[in-house]
Amino acid sequence: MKQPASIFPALGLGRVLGAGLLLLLLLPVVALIASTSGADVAVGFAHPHFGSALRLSLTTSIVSLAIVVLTGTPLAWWMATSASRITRVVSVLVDLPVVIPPAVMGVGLLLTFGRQGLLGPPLGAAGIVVPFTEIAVVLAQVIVSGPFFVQAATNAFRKIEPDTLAVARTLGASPREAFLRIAVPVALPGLLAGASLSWARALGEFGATLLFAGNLPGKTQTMPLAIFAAMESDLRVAVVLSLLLVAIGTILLLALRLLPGLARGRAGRDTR
Amino acid sequence: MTQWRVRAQAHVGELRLAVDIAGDDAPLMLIGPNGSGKTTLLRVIMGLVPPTEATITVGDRTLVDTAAGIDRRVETRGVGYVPQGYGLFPNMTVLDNVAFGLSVRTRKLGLQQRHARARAALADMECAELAERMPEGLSGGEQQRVAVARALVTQPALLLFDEPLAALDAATRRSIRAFLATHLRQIGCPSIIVTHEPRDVLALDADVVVLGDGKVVQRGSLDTLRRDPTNAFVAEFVACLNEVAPPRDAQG
Repeated sequence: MKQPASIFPALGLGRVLGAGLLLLLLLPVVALIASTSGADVAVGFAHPHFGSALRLSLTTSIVSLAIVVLTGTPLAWWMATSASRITRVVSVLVDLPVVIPPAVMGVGLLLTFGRQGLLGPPLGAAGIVVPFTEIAVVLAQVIVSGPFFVQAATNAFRKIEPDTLAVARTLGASPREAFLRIAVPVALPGLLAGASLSWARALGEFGATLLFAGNLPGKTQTMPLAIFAAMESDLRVAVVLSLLLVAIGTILLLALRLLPGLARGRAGRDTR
Repeated sequence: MTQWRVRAQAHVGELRLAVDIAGDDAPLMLIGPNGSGKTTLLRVIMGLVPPTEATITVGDRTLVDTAAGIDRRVETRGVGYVPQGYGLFPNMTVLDNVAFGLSVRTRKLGLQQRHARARAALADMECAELAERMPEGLSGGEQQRVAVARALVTQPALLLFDEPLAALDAATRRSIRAFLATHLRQIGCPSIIVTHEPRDVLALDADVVVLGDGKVVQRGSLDTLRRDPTNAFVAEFVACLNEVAPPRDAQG
């Protein structure tokens, strides 16, 4: 059957240019997969830094995701529901880490938490060392990944019809009940999408981590840093680590597409 | 017979609301130009907008008495609300929407009991067959009935409607108007209905309160409003009725 003609004008040259970008996006991934043999994968997995980098990446990124969700959800709710004009300023502030290069954020973090930094003296007096520790890794991840969650959550909360929450209140729900039983479930697809993006960003964090947490194998060397280190010693290890990150990213993207539908299908049941 | 009285002052943006209205079980229609304070008054009664000064009583319950320091929270006022867009919870089936008010912490019934009562409320609104549907796929008229069932299931002391028919097409509006006219009388709970439709007033044969600039500018039956419109808004409101329908006595 013939497809109905599109009402949009076709772009002759534009199509070629668009296809060019698409190709450029795909080629590195194809190259990664094509250049790896089974033997390479075995060598990569066996490398002493592989396991520790994977473990450190997973634990720190999960901890930072938890921090981002716990602190970002109330912030997003406030930005979505407050009539105050301060929310506009805050919204710009929250986005700052997206436009500021991660390396710059790394320098900023050092100047904040370093021995000579803003908070250095009180932290030092309390015996707390932040730079070049796991705490630094987590802090760097929280800063660069937080905005992705907060913006997605704010948009998701904004889409809720305010009258639904008003009705919930008149039916006897406390503000907390209305939030947990109406606002969160209705915004859930957006919250999950934001959390996934945020987690992916934390997992891939490189610049701020390198400057603020260093590249110490087994301590602060996350997967992206291990790739950086492996490039100079054994490319195979770098490729295997890279492939693993590609796989995780792909799974996240697929989940992002599938989760909203699943969440919507399950949310309707009240069986408690 | 429940008597209620709302005496309230509130400042919201440019609007300075200052009203004193009372009523009983008979539905009361609230009309007025945009920005005259209709929705704000509903929100003050619900407790969503803080009044500067107010006493609100329904039956023997005092919801608000600023002088005495009484200000019940939204969730304990027992004021039902059917908003303009119906405000159905999109994450729940129709049955769970209606049962929501029976599942809150302060009024939690068992699952079977609340579903039974929700089904009964839906049956009262002649839409029992919608129970398992999600709000997304419902027509405007169906959503309206579900929203009313949901508000009634908690047995509110006062029921508020904000433009209940505005979002419906003409044919549905006629049938829902007739439906509300019969049901609001049976419910036996006072109701305040914001409208901009003279035909709603005609169908419900209710008293009308006209708001203008945050104040009550006229109160009376439709006939009073027709005989002696207090301002251009009221005159236009009833004039448009003269065009669309014969006066009530000519009908009967």
